Amino acid sequence: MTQVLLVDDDPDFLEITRLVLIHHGIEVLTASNRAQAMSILQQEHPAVILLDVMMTYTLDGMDMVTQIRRLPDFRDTPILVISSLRPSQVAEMLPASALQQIQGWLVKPVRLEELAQKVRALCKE
Amino acid sequence: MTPDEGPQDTVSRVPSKTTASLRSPIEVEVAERLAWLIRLRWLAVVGTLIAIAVADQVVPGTLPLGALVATTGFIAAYNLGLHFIARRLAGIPDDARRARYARRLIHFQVVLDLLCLTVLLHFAGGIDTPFWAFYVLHIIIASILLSPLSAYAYVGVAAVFYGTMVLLEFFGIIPHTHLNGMACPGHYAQWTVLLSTGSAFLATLFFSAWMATSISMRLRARDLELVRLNVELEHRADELGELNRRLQEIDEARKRFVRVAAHELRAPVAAIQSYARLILSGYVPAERQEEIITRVEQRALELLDRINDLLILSRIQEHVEKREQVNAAEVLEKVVELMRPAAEEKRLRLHVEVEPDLPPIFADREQIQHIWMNLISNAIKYTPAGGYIEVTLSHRPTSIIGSVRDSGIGIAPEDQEKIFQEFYRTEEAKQMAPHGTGLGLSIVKQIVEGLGGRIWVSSAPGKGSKFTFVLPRSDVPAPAEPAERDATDESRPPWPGG
Repeated sequence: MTQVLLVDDDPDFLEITRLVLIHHGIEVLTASNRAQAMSILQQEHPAVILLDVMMTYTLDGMDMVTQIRRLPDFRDTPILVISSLRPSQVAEMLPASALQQIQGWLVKPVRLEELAQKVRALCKE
Repeated sequence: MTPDEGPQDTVSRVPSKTTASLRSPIEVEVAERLAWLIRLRWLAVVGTLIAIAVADQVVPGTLPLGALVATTGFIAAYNLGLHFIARRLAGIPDDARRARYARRLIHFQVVLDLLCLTVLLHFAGGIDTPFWAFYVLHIIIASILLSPLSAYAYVGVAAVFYGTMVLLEFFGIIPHTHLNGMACPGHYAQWTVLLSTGSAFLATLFFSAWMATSISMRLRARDLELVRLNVELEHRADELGELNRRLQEIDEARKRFVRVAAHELRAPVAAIQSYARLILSGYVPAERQEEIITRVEQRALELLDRINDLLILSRIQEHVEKREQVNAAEVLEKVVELMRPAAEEKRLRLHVEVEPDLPPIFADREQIQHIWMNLISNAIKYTPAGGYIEVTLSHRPTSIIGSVRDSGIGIAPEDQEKIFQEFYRTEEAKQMAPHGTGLGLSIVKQIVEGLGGRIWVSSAPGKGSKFTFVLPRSDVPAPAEPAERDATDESRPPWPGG
């Protein structure tokens, strides 16, 4: 079964996404903060990482992207950002290279079918 | 008179503190004019030698050529000395010091020049020669480059030199050089000549000094005013720059707030919409649907709370008009009454200690209620069942002090400042109570600071927290500083055994 890691500080969003992806035959690991996520990545090797970029007051999710990319096993793992805000709404906080490090950006509320399709497509890559 | 007092007089007349340190451009020019004076003197030396040669042709054998050439040579010699001194002066980096030395040197030159001019005039015919007009040049130079007092002093010096020379000749104490064809023999020894030439000499010199100083003083004042305006403009430009920087900071903070607020308002809406879509798309088995709908309701309530808190936050400044004499103890009593059931539900011991005869504060009652409600509800929310909450209210000479202490999860040192920022919630808080507005403490902080008080927290993870706020009393005049932080209170551990 394909496994993905979902990182979000909103427990409802974790639950919603988990339900949808499980329905589509995808196993979901969840983490509500950066420390939990990094700890999971020490032991598991998810095929896709889904990440909320604005978990606290700042775009610390983007810092996490950089941190994940430093791990040798996850240099090429697709990362899908899911956020309440569009990239243009946080443009001044996004480093120039940030968008090159991720493979997609979905805006909440996410269309569930689109989410499932996108994750499936990234899993196949 | 001291040579240095001139141009500073002008400076001190300008009624501005900042101008005390200003120097008129003329002062800077004094140093530059030194070289110009030396060049002018070389011309004078050459001109004098030519005049002597011409005069010797026109009236051969009349003039004492040796004495005239020797005096001119003396002028050339000291001009050479001045040339070297001026070059050394130019190397002084400090403008003020260079100008001071240059001014002294100009005084020295003017005296020497007047003396040498008198000697030359004596050998060139004394009172008979019309070249006494050259004194005027020196007076004009002194008027432009030095102070008015110096100019009039040099009128006096010139009068003494010239007067002494003509009187000594008049009384036959020194010989008079007679210019053949220019004056009748004995002309110099007539009282009428002495009086008329002397009057013309004094009047010309005095009026030259008066006209030159009045014009130069006006120009100097204008120069100085320009310098002062320039400095003021630079100062204003700096002020505007600083204001602009602060406005940019405020704008940046506003943008960040709107961004975070948008994120925080969208999150519950997104969850509600996604849950609805989840049920409608058949992702949720029937037995879980009630649970999911309950979550939807909770998220809707959370959104309402967040909007309410945002409205409170936006209206904090508007509450100034609603301020009245408020007894913080009465407000506390009502809040505790409201909160006690929630505390009892979690089996928390809620202890309240209010000092008797508490002085009033000048505030909006509703805002004081917000302070107590937010602090006590946080204590209830973040204290595990069976814990303890202690609320105290006391007073100091100029302030009242309220505190809410709990045996809850505590706050890590690195989070203790951030918790007062809008929407900030610690990881531990999120785990203990997943949904919160993240606005309660920023509302409390803004209310307390809006009332001229302060709030702070002392806490350690797992050892509880103590929030303390200080508000100024309304029955005594406010101290110079905003309500003092109670340092002794800070030094106590946040919790017994903590």
